[in-house]
Amino acid sequence: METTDNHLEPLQGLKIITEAISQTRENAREHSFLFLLWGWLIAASCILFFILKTFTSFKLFFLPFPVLVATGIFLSFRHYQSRPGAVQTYLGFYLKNLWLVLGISFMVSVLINVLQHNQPFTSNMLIGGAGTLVTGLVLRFRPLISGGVLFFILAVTSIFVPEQYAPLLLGVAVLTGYLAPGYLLKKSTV
Amino acid sequence: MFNDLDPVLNTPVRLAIVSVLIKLKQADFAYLMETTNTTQGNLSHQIKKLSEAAYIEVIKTYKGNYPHTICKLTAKGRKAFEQYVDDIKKYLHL
Repeated sequence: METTDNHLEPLQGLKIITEAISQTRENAREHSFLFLLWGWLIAASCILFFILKTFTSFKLFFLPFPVLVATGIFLSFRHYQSRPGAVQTYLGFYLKNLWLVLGISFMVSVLINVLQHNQPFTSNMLIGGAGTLVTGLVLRFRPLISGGVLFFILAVTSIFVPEQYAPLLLGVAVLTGYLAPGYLLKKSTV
Repeated sequence: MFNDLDPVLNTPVRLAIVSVLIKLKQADFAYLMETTNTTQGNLSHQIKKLSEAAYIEVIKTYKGNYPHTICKLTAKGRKAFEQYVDDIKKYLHL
């Protein structure tokens, strides 16, 4: 690239525009750390919740959720503070805000369900499914689309199985419908 | 009928900067230097010119203890780029 202020011929201008636009990379995969971190935290919370509630007499069996979600919020905050992105694409901006709003929806859903003495797992599977499916559709990444659909199927399944297995279903949904496609996305060249 | 090409955009580095930013919400100085393949001094100079024309917005922050410059295309810059593309298409009969 020339470093002077010389003026361009139309053909040179078109060439520069084409080259510069084609060099601009999509960085959806650069956010995979947070995407995968939250997957593992939620899956671990669900499985620990199930084990503590089903196989022990521990009264604070729900504790893995607040502890691991608080850990996730802390690590996410630190991640954004330590690595201000070199580039922010419109798609990355949209997906970041989508998951931020869905994260708030998760918490509101848990609060409402707890106050109504219901389990929040079915509604959380729907919220997770919506996020995964939208992410898959905008990235045009089929494993994530399938993952989102799997969330919806397991959400419906959860109302037909005994209540105690609902957290396990959410854990399975996160492991197979979110984390597995998440790792495929990290390895892919999308 | 040919329009004069926008003098602000009609130089290689400035056109490259705006072409990169048209696809992005924002990009930092290091990324622009990498994609436009120019020197630090020249990029600073061209960013200043684009900023003076209100084609880009320059945000100065810190990354750790180091200054971090972020650039965003403004609505005026986007419009100017679109006009520039239309104009060169006419020159090239595209």
